[in-house]
Amino acid sequence: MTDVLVEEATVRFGVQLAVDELSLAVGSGEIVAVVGPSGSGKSTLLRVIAGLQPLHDGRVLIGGEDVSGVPTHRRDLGLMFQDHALFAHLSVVANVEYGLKFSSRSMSRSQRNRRAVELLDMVGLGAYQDRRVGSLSGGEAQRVALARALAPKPGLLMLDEPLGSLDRPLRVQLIDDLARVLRDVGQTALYVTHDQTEAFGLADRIAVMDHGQLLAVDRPAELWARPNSEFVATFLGHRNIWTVDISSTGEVRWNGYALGSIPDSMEMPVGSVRVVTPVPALSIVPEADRSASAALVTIVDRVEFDQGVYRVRAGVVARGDDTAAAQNRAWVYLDSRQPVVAGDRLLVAVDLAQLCVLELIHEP
Amino acid sequence: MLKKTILVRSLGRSLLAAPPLIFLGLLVLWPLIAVLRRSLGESSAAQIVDILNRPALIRVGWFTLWQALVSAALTTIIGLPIAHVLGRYQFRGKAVVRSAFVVPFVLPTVVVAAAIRSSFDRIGVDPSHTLVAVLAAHVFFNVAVIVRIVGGFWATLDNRQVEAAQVLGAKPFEAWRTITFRQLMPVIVGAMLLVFLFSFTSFGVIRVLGGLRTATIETEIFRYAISRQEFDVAAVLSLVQIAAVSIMALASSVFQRRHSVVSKGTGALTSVSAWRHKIHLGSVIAIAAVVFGTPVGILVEQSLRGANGYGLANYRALFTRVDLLPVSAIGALTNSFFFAAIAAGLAIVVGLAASITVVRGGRVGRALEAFTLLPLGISAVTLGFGYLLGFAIFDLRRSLWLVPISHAVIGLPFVMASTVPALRSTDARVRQAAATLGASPIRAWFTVDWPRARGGLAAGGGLAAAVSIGEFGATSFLARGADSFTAPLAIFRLLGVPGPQLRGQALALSVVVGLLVATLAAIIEWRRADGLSLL
Repeated sequence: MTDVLVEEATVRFGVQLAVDELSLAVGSGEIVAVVGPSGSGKSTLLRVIAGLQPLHDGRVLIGGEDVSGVPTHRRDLGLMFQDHALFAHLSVVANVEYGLKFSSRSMSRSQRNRRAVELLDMVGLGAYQDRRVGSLSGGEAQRVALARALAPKPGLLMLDEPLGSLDRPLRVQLIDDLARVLRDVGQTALYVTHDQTEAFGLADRIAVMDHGQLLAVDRPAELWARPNSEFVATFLGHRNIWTVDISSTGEVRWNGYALGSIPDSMEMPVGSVRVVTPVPALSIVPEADRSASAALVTIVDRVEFDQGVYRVRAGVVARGDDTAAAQNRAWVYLDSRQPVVAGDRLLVAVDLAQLCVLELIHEP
Repeated sequence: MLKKTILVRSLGRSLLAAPPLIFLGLLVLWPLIAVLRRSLGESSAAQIVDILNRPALIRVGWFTLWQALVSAALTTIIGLPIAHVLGRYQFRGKAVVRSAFVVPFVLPTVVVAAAIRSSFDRIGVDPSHTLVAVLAAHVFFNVAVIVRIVGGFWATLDNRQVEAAQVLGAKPFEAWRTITFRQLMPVIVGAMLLVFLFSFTSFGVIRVLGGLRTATIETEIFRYAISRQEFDVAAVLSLVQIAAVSIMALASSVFQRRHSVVSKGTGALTSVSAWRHKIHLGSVIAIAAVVFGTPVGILVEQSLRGANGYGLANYRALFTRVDLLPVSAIGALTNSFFFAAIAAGLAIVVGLAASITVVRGGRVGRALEAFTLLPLGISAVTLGFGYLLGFAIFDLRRSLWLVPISHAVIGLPFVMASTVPALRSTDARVRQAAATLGASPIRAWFTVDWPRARGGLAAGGGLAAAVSIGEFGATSFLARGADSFTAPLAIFRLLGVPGPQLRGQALALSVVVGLLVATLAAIIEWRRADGLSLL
């Protein structure tokens, strides 16, 4: 398999920077997901690597070789397009055979056919060889596109929102299938999506992109626990993003509440700090323990029952005014395994060890 | 209660379906049956074979076939570069350019023939001695078919499929050959077949520009029926014509079904910014403008040329009757206007009823849909001849009204082609929403469907009027005397006389008629962004 290196790539559309001095490395056999809102330049990045979009600056190395002068058809790539771009006038098997004509010129017609059928079997469509592509469902078309892209054994496979047009249950299933197929082959892959759950389900590393720039690249667990900016944290789905005050003694206060002290081992800035708190860091404290630990007093506002868990949004109530329905309240988001209904009063403790600093707003 | 509602509804439907069915049955099917009866019913098989074996007619058949083939090939070769730039480039004024190419298609055949003829006269070549004039006229007409159909499809071709091919290792040309060209080919062949069909059934162009050696089945039907009064020969020729057209239509539909590709319509158009593109686009448009503008320019120039140099003498002469014509040229034009108004009105009324029935679907709707397209396939001359035979018993053929009625039949497909899609595009749920808000079915139809149908009807009716003004084939059979003598007939007769004076009048009348029809077509095009849905 091949590794890919993008070095300070820049693409301009008029005055707008679609890709802005972006650098990214994909190791051999690694699956990297590029996530970002639509219009962030993800697809352009793929087109740059494919050679379909010329670079204004920077360079791309595939397998250690600078491919600046190499046209698309000689870059040894696979690319799965959004909406698949299957050849509408060819049968399913002819679609899969198409790339083999160029990649392995020594292959006979029957060998090509055998390889194509083999791949169709792998994606579970062995019986579909002679179907017209117009008659395929979205999920089937997606599998044919995958088989077509994999057939010539490309050094790098790029997938541009391949599940974008499919409904949710099918997506969940196809992510599993994709992960299996890519791991089996040991495929180096670059996977572009705007959906962070797809990225978490598939990738070795996740790169977050916005306005043509790479904001963060990391393994999924690390990226989730330590997002490096509020944009990244929000995009990944974090909801407890607060401004807290940290004193020189390590005491944390939010909205007038003392949340406790950060553990000695953690290094934290002092002052007004923007932080993110993962949902599992928030837990419900029994009323009896009230005096034992510092806890937020909250009134439940909304409850969503999702896969056995009560997902709760609760409003923090001002200290000493437990019953008042405060305006402009600060929201906390937490999960509960016990039934919760709107209007319930909950005591919420925060595990400060899971606090992650996004930004120091100002020093004391 | 429920039963009563259903009864009222089905009664309403039959009431709507009846007029178009009667109209088409009487005015399309009956004449066709008359032709079939005359050919198959009254001649024995041996007689038919005998007629078909006449060397003169075999020669006519071959000529018809190969001139249509050459016309189709030439039109495609000339049309494709234009279709390419219109299909692939995005540029300012594209809509105007696209519309301009429709004008030749709607111009009356005799006007185009007059333009080509005056161009040949200008360079001093007798057009009847050469096939080039006929071919030039066919290309002039039909290039719109190639440009609109192929160019329109080209614009929707999915560019990412070409990119996918390149990613898979195809060189740019290889990707173009195996993807773009392969997907384009069925559409090109389909458009070419249409041009072949139009050239195969060409009548006015051959009558004006053809010589002794350039007779087609179409002109021979006319000659045998009118000049020689040999109805049995004319009927057998009509039969051949009907069979040939049916086979072509069938072949075309089978071919389309087998090869056509539904495009998702996400083609990426190239905006013209690079010099390379500017030069390419500019040169194609400029060459096309010169090639297609020159005959028109010469027509106008020649029409202004009188005995005493340039002036409006020819136009002024249109107001005085010459011995050759039963009325003055302006009188003929007045007749044409009168007929166009009746034909368009009739086509709109019948077309609306037919469109609603077709859109409602069901067995009647489907049958009617196939039925209303029939006038497109059978040639105008066959239709005219059918009227001659079919209405002889009632002596209706002397009637003035057969001319606008035949025009309405010919114009009906145009009305349908623009109204049916408009009605189909209305979402049934919107009508249901109107019903839930308290609108009665008729009220709901008028608030939801009518606003859309209106535009389609107006456009289709306008086209039907334009077609009526220029109609030559059926009119040649049916026009009798001063009251039904139309402008195209006047142009034809004036052109046939040697000498510059009447020729000048013919050209002046051509300019007037051409200008009227082109203006009508331009207004329709301009009002409707997507253009003629028939193309």
